[in-house]
Amino acid sequence: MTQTVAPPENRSVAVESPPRRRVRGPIRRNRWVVSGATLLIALTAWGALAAWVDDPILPTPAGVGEQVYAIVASGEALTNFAASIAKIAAGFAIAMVGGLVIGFAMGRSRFMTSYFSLPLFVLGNMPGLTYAVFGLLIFGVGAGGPIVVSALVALPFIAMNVAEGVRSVDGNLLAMCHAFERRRTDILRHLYLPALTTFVFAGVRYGFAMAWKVEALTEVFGASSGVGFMIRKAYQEFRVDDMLAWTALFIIAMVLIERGLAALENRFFAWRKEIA
Amino acid sequence: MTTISTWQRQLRTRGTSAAAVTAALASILAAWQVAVLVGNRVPSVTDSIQRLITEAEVGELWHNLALSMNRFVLGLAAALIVGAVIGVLMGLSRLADLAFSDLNAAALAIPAVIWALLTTMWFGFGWLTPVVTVFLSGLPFVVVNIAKATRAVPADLILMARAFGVSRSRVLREIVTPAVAGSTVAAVRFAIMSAWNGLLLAEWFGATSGVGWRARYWYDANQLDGFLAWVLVFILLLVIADLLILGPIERYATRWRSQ
Repeated sequence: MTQTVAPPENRSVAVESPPRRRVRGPIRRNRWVVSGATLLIALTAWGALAAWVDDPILPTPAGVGEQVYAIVASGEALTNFAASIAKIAAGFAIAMVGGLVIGFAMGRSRFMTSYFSLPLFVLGNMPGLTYAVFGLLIFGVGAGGPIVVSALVALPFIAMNVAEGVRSVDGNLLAMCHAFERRRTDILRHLYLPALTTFVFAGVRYGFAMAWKVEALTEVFGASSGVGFMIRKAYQEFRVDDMLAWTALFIIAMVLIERGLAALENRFFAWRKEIA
Repeated sequence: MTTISTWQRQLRTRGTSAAAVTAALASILAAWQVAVLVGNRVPSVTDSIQRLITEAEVGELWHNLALSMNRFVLGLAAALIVGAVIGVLMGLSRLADLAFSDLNAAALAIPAVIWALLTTMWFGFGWLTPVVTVFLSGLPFVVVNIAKATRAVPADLILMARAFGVSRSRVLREIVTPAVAGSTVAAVRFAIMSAWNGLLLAEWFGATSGVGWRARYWYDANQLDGFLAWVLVFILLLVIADLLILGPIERYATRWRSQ
């Protein structure tokens, strides 16, 4: 309550990328060795535990690896991930439109900021279970549920970041645009667009991580395709190895997409010193 | 993750006019009422509150809440302790940091539902299923934030304090604690959010008591007002935990920043 404007450190938070950039050089090479070694130790521990339990309830790493291979080779991985990602993309398109509108309103008006804070807080923090069940109830088993659910989960992240981006636009430049009677489209294109893109990108990255989990959960509750549906199938057939294989694929896909988005972000915004 | 705390800070800092919040509440209720009229299976809020009162009368409300809280606190405490140990290690040692950060990133990517289903298959219907799910879904968030907290300790300030012969307790109180407090509160906050989600799912799939199980009971009985009644409890608990307890604590812990 003490200040009306967020302290500058908060602004940078929104664009700060989660993986810390490490010093290049010998440490960078060590990084893979150490990380790989830990992974190997973890796998060995898992293998030893599995050998000790000796029951299909705890499959060996090799067994899960075979299952992963089987899923990938049969093409199931591709079709189901594609199905899930298509639903998320559709949801994100909706969230982007809504987030831009709400974010602009919030960035321009103090009242709108207070007005939208509570709904966005509830949307962003509601347990995934609630989304999944209502998605299933209202939209049935089709693609509608997951799409709307991922839109609702991603919306607060995008809206908050758009609002931050709008607030970050230099007021002097805006005043100058008015003084020189620039057209609205000019202002939007040359002033707002460059300011917004970085913030929107950050919102998309966080939103994606959240939305995907909830989307998968919705598919667990009711779907006819997608990763969540396959996880549910593994659960119903009581196949731990199948479940672990899908989990592994889930992690791999998530990390790949994360890295991809981060790389894209670096490339897009290479001209901005404070981010590069 | 950071965006959540950013907007919560905004929720507090940007003159939260009561009118706007009231309007927001009214809009949420109105939107829900529209959904009730349009969608034929959406339960109304008044029905749900009615149902909640009945639940309290038959003794299911407090009983299940107490059971779930018990499991939640147990799992969360374990996650906080283990997570703090790993996090401090990662903050102090470069080797530990390299070793654990990729594993932890993978753990962050696993949705709670997978833990809930796996623990159900492993431990069956018992207290272990929700507790382990709470532990596993909270842990990576604790590790990330505690590691961040540890790295935030200003080494040069401590060296200077030592050079000037400042007592150890004062260093702890005036240098270490303020630097660490923000991320530590964030660790607790994210762990609570994620673990609560895990608890609900674990009880939904693998328990015969607790709030998640009770919500499922009404869902299976196709009585959606009962389900929504419990959802209202979940949301209320989150709002209480976050906005009324952790929010003020975080504001107090990070008050030195805005000066």
